[in-house]
Amino acid sequence: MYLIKKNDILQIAKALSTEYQVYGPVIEPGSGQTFFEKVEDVSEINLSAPIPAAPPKHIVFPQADRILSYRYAGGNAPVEMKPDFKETPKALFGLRSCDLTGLQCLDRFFLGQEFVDEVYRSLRKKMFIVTNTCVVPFKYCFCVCTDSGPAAEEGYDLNLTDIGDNFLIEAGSAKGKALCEKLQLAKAADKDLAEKNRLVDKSITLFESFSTESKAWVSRVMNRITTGFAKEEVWEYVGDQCFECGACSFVCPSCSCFNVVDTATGDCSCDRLRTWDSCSYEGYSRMAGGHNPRKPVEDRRNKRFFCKLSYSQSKKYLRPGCVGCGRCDWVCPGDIGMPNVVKYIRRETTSRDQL
Amino acid sequence: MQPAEQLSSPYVPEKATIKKITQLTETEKLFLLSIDSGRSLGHAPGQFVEVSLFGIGEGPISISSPPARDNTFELGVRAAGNLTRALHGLKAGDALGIRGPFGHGFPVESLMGKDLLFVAGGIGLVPLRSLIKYSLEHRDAFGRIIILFGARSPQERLFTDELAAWSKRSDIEFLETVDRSDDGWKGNVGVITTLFKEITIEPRKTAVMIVGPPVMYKYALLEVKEREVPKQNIWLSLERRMKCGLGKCGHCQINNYYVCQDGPVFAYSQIEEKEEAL
Repeated sequence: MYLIKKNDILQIAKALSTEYQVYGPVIEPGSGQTFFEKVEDVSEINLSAPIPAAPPKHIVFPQADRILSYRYAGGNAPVEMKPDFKETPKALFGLRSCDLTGLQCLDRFFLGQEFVDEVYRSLRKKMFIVTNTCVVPFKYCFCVCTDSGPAAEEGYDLNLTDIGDNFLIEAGSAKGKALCEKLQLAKAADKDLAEKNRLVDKSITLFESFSTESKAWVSRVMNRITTGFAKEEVWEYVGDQCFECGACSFVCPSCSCFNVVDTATGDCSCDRLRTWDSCSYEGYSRMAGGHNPRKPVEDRRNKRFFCKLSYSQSKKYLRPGCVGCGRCDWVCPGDIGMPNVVKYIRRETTSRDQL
Repeated sequence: MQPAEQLSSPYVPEKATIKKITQLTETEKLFLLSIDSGRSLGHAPGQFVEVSLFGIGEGPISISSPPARDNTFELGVRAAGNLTRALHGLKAGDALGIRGPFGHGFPVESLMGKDLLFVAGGIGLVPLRSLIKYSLEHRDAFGRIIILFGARSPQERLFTDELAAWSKRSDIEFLETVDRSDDGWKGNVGVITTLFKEITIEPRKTAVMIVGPPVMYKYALLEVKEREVPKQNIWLSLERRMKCGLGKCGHCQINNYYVCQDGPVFAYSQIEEKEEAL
């Protein structure tokens, strides 16, 4: 554990920028929204910025990503096909714990299954992760319900916590520790850690009522969804409310579905791209010839919640697929973000139990 | 090009060449392919490949030939969408890309010694043909072989030469029907389930393989269940939009199953309870 003066915190980002392409939370001047972006100058990073509007998923799983490029000449002329992606060392500076958890979900899905996704791996390799404890939660946050915050517990190289005049820095890896030693940072004392723990405990009490009331309900809803006990009426309502805009999938730190399309880059050359897709779209499961096994929108909607919350699906992430960032609630025009759906299932269940 | 990097990726196809094209019906063609490297595909009956057409895209196609000793294999394709229409536009000698084979096919080992009942509806014969031909090549390893085939009309019957050969063999019970007949048709008329009353099976000894259009599963399963064939001996192949074949893109999910990996062939006992599977 180390300490650094609050005003000096970006020195760490500066040091990382010699070896890594640094990404961090930046407040966009026009909109005032936070985005987690590539920075040319580390002074753009604002560690007190609210949770970014979109998760850092795009850094390892871009919205449109080339997985292959090829040249062909027609007929049986030779075809040149090559995997086309490269590794750039990246430092994510000031990641929130929910977003780190989202990244871990993607890691387990893309790297921990039978097939290792080389495209993802090339983007994910050589990464330095600096997390930032949320000493104050944001309006939509419910990470306390999904065991993913407000402070990161593992998976970081360095974790920062604003403890007043200083940041407490915890090293989670050898390379994190080496960086602190190289920068000759002051050692922290037990009281500094105690202060961090006090602030985390306090942060937990500051969450909106949904989070404080629903801690047990998220896991209970997992049970309901897994056992098929969630009422049909809930899905019908959720289906009626869904605009099929796909925004929930795009802002979700753990959503990983993609489409594959070939786009021409010349007369006889193409890039094969994978692009984000959403299970809310009608065309998501439609096949050539028009057959679609998931026709009604409520059918498609309950699949998203099944994917995030059922036990069998959670095997692929070794935890719930939801990381409690609240972004789906924030962007959903139909009010069917994760917290609300948990509430609906809770309400249905509670009213039935009372009969 | 940076040859130094030597990146590999399961998304990169192998170049293959069309050796021969046979017109099966007005809308279906059979493509005989070989992988240029000389590699044998090494598939099991019921598996599929991802076919890349350069400048068009990629899609899953089931393999219609039995496991082969050489590097060739067959794909039976209906021109139904952009990719398959473009595939129909190719000619012998043209190149395409292949990834795979992917998924779980029919459990050939556990079928040995059993009576086999094939229920093929229309284009469902294309994937089933791989196992049918395999079982005929290893005829002694199996009990009775019963094949029920239904087409919408006489013009839509696939592999007509093979159907004729099967109907002549004494070691196969082959029955077929068409939904709608025309003047020249002398055979059965009616949906495929009408053929069930023509056969008797020993439920405990029989494995049933059903492949056909989605609506057929429901009715064919009723017939099979009525005869009390154990659910774990009923095998179905599901069609889904399997974009990647690797369990990543998500499009073929049925709850916790990825059809491209866990299927496309499933035992009925595996998917009976799954919404949207059938």
